[in-house]
Amino acid sequence: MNTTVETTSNPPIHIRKSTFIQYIAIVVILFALPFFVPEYLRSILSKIYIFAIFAMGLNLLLGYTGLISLGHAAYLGVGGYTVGILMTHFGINGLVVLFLSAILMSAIAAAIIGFIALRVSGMHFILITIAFGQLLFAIAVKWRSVTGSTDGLIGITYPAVEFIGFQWTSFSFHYLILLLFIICYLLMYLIANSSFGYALVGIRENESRMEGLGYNTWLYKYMAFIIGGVFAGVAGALFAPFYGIMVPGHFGLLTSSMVVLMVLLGSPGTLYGPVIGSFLILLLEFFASIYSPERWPLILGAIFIVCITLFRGGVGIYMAKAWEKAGSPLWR
Amino acid sequence: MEVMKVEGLTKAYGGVHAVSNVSFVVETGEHLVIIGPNGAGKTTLFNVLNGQLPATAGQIFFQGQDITNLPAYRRIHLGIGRSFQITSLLDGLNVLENMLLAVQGTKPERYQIFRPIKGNKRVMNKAGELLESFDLWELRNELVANISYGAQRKLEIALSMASDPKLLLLDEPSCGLTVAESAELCTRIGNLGKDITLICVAHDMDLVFGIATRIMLLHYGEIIIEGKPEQIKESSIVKEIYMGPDKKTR
Repeated sequence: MNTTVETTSNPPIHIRKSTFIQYIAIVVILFALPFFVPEYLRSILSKIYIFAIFAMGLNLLLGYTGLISLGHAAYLGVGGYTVGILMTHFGINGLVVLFLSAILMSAIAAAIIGFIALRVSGMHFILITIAFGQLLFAIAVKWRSVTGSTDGLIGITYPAVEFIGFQWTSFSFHYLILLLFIICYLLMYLIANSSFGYALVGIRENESRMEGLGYNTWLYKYMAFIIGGVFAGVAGALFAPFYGIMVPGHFGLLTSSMVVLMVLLGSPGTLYGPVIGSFLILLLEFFASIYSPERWPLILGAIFIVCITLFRGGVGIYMAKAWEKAGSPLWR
Repeated sequence: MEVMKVEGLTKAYGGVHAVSNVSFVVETGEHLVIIGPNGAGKTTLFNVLNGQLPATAGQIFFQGQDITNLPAYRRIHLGIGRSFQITSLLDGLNVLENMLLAVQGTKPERYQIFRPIKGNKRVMNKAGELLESFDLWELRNELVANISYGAQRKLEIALSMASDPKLLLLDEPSCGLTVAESAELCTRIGNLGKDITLICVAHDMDLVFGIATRIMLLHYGEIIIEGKPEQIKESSIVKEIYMGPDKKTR
């Protein structure tokens, strides 16, 4: 274990060399994996990355800022439907345009919902986020001509890359998902260690004190809400082409509660938490789908209870500790 | 020069007037100490002064500017620092991180979203200096929830000084400190610059008479008497309300 003692009055903050090497090693492994695993496993990996991005967005709210949103699927839905509607109704197929639109729309949705939801706090905040999620769900169901209602918005394909006319396969699209996952992770790393990120943690710990130190806490929470929404929107923009379909259920409470569970299980307020949570839940879902697909909600509920009662801080921190014991520390 | 002027300040909870028609002026460099029995409205007065609670009536001026309706965080930026009677720290963070957040709270860097907080030399150095001056540097990597109560109290006061306040509101700074720590605090307050004005709530009489240039007695939300420490010491009203009535007259 690396036990360097800080002696200077300004401890160096750069990432340790051994940590950096581990990061690189993991990235290399992730890039190599698709060549060695069967297709169904690759598709689970894609799904894990997408949901990890989704959960990272929620983690910024739930883990770092202490805001419990039970309607985070709204932004996944907005991102996904934006891509789907632009593709199927407007024939827009460009990757950059589609992704920027998804980011913009999810940011707008989060800006509107957050503006209203952050008027209140605690339980009322949770209820308003649920209400908005259900509202968007209802729109997706009722607005048949645009959203395809419960039949789903079908015919979503992989977006094209402008100019070079590159067409995705499920294999290459997996790498796009992986790349965006890594970018999102790095962004979250920067945010978590930034002045802004620490201020969010401060607000989680003691909001009135942070206000007493000069922070406009409302603005911080609002910004976190929008950034969290954008992460979910990016996940949605990947989600729609990956599945080829958007259904209203993707807006729904089940998706929202699943991502909450991912964050809680993976240890909220840590960088790696959402990734671990996404990995564990989706792996379990995969096994459940083999042995007993109709009982998946039952299993999900049981995990929820076990996680809340036995692992308050999530299993992620235990896994990180085990990792630290096994090697040198990988994460902060 | 007057730093803070309060006019007819009232804070009512329903029919109960926690602070009732309070008016006073504080001049630059003054150390005004507010005393009064429990429930006199001292902390409520502080909460209204620093903006955590809205005033029911009356006005507050800071350096001539009407701040009655400014939110708490804006008042810090003007130069009003505050410490809390009940220790109010960021428990899940360590001592250094608490200090860093306090230092950057009034700096534009506080909105930087991609730049690491600990990579900011200006903020780091300032935080380091403050921690060292309060003998907390050795504890910098400890979670604040794990340090001793005395150290927490010191950090509490250090945080309120981080914004370089012109006016410092200290709510029971010596509460829970040992006699030695309290004496040290008294010296520290005495060493504050001439340009820092202090309003302090205190129960500890050694501290009160050690630091005060003026004393104000609050009782049921009203100012009963106000004056120099010597005057207050002699006052029979203070003795009756605060120290308890004389045994002979009972």
